[in-house]
Amino acid sequence: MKLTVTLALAAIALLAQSDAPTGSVSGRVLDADSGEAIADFPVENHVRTDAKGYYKLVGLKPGPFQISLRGERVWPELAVRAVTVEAGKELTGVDLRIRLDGEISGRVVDQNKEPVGGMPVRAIGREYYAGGLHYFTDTGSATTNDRGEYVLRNVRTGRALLLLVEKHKLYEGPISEAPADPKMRKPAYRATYYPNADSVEAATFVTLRSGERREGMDIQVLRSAGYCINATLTVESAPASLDFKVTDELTSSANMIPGSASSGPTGVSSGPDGKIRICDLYPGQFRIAALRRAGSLPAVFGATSVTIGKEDVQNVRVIAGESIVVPGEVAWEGNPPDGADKAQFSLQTPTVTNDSMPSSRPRYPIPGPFSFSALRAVEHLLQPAIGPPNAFPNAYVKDITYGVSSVFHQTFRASSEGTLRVTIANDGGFVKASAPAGAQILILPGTAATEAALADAMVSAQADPAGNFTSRSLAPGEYYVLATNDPIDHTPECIANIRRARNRGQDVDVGPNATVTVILREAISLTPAGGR
Amino acid sequence: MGKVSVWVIVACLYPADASVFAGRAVEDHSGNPLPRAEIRITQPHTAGIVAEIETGADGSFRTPDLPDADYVLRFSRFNYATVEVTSHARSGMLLRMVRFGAIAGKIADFEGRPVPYSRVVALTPSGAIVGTDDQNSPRGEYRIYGLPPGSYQVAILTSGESRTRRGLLLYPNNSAPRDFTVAGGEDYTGADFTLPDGPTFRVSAKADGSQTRSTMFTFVSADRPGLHFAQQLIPSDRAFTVEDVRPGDYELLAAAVSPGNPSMFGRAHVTVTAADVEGLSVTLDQTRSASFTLRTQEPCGSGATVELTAREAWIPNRPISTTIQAGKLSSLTGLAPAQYSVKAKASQGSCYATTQGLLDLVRDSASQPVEVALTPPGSIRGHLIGASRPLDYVVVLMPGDGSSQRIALPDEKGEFAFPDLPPGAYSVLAAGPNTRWMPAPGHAPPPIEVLGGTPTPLELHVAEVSR
Repeated sequence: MKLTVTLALAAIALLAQSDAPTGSVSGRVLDADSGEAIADFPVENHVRTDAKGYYKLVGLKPGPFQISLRGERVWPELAVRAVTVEAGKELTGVDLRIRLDGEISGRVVDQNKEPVGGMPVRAIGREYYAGGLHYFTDTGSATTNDRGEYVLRNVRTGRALLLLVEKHKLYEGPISEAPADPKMRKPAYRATYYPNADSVEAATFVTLRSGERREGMDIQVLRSAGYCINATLTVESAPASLDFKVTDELTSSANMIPGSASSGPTGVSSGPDGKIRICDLYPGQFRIAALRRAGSLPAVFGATSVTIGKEDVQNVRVIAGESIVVPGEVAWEGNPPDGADKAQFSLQTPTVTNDSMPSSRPRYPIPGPFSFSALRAVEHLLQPAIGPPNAFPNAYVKDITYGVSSVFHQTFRASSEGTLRVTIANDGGFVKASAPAGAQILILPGTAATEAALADAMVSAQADPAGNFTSRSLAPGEYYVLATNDPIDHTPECIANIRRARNRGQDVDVGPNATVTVILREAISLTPAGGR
Repeated sequence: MGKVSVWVIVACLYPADASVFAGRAVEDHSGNPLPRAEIRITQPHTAGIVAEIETGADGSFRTPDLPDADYVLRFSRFNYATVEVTSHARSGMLLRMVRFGAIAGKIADFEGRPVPYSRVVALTPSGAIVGTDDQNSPRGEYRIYGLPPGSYQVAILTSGESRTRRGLLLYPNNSAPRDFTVAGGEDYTGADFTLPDGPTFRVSAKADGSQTRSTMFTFVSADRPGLHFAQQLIPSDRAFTVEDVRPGDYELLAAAVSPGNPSMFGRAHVTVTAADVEGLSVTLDQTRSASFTLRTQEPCGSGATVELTAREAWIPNRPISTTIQAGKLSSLTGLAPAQYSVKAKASQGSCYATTQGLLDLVRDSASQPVEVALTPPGSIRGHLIGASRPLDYVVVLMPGDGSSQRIALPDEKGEFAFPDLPPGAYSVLAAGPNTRWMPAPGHAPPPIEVLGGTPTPLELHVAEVSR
């Protein structure tokens, strides 16, 4: 009854705004995992789904319309659907499949099963990009309370997650006052994965179903002897006062989504003698990053890996220096297209370790030279773009080489020598697909030999309201094309499913400057067994 | 039973032969062993940590052999008051650590449905926020912990979203809020809120005098102005509006602060009764100033830093500080019309700065300079009276905020000392074996005032009852 009233009021309100003819859209909101209806879920214009998951939006202005589910418990990439509203008509069957987020709770305990309060817990996800599998902090972080309890809220469901307990390092200054003799020190808290693992390999992954609340996920935090790293921060061989940060290499890559923001050193600086002494560390691999900023970007930067065994580490030198200016050259392969004098190339180069995230993206003519600043001893992502938008529809980045090696779809580490060469081709072809309305279209290169390569090179996008889709420019070659209603992401689980499903797609050969038309009659399930 | 208690003689706190500290840490209120308490051992007035150890599963600890000297032992544990004791090596030490309190409950709307994601706070009698739970669960459960000994009220700040009303609600109601007393280890449950139904109203206002600058409006409770219900940055040509306001008394704070421009402030009292309050005008002409003088003595130097922190939830709300010199009148201008907490710190040396704790600039600027005085540290030299075996006792000193304790160990004559104390008020008590270090509510000894630069004598009477 209440829903009816709500819908009616929404309809009246919308109709009252204009006398122009309007249309309506209806469908259901379904759980992507179980296919069950999701009741009382907010859609648009204060409309909520009824007990059977049905919604109806009325009084919509004719033309393109995007339905966005903005509930607190849903992930946005699954919650958008483009439709075309027609005057006086109801567009039915516009179903949206979503995953509700979940919740993980438990306790952090010590070796005697006693609760440990004040311990940060976070969920770690993993995805393929830049040719490798990378870990990052997924949504959900919390600190254990006085009873050692934690609750991770808004946890992404349907993907494998690690749970990590890691005590924050708080530096009171560059020189720790910890006792010189390791036997006089208290044990350190190790970064520990659920349930009690000191490495990803030994950890247990957790995958929640849509909307699941998983309780009892107790983590036994590990302890070990506490050790110190003694290091000198230098610039051009001379000790220098620099900001620094020491992180566990195993977990620091999981700090953030690479390139999302800078998580550089925390503002603690060494003295003029460059000396630092960081303690309360445990056996493992650590990274010392040192920098001096100029504005928001590092002007001087250096990073060093340090392995701690069963004793303190002495005499580490962190060599920082100015950024390396990497020269580059961008060129067309073969003859340039018409209007090539207007073509532009740009390259975004965030670091994988979040030490730097340049905000500007200079544009360079094609062909021509370009350059960018790279940090020393750090992996960068290469994110090229060709412009102006839509001006060169057949253009695509064919390859990026550094020296004699291709670094396309890989991370990039600059040296003081070498030129980055970017080859732009203008013979790209297209896949034009006709698929069930709203389905996700996947275009998978036949040449992708590994899951990492497939994740980088695959193209995915939603078909338009009429079920039509045209790809961006593709390098000529063999592709598999398929449609699915399943959520698409770059997790190993999803990419493995996509790879397995590849042969159930249509095998097409995209020729130079050609358009291949594909009719995909049904959206296939990537998970034939019915779950991930 | 009367006042009969059993006096148990326990060998504790006696100087050890070896230079080793050994003993046990227990929870003050329960006597349960306390594992994983961290003990940091330093030497007085010496940099560097001599040793760091932890208590074991049974609460016991033992340091490695240490050179013969006085040491400072600092016991700390998450959610417990820290304890600091200065002593020669001893065995049989019994450390009682005070667990902080917790308050928990549920939040439901007037129809009984859980209200998630509200902000619940614990407030001191002065209105300071001590603990918060900003992320109470989807089931509407909250838990505030880490409350040092003291008295608290619990309040929920509702945001005015669906099924709630904007405003401050104290537990169980605003007219008779409950005081939760924490003396160590209290775990209050069932402090459930039911958000009342009822009419709500709109409040709108414009800033007058900001010309082209945007103004940050903050809508706060009149009784507890540190808590805000709405904050918006409003362009000069638009009005600030807050919906779903419960009847009550509020303050509207307005600040136009931008780099390179003089700060402008205004505030207005808002009473919401039975109708919308619209068309208010807050004139941004209420900037305030205060001046400071410094009184000093040897060997405290001639400089100090003064820091003012507004008690209201002004935005921006960062502390404002200035450096002052002896013999000079220093001023702070361009201040918001607020109540300020005043803190001062000596620029050098081991002296302490004392000053008045509160500066009220709500109605006007300070008419008299605020005096800051630099004094050397104070101390307590005390004597236990009435203790047949003084070595069985410890003397516990508690600063006002309850987050830490210092322990002195009397000698055979019952004499004890607390050196290097910041001037101020302290509670001091003598505790025998099996006696809690944090007295029950209402049984705390009256505080004594410690002055800087001169020892404060103290005779501490011990009431022993023999079997």
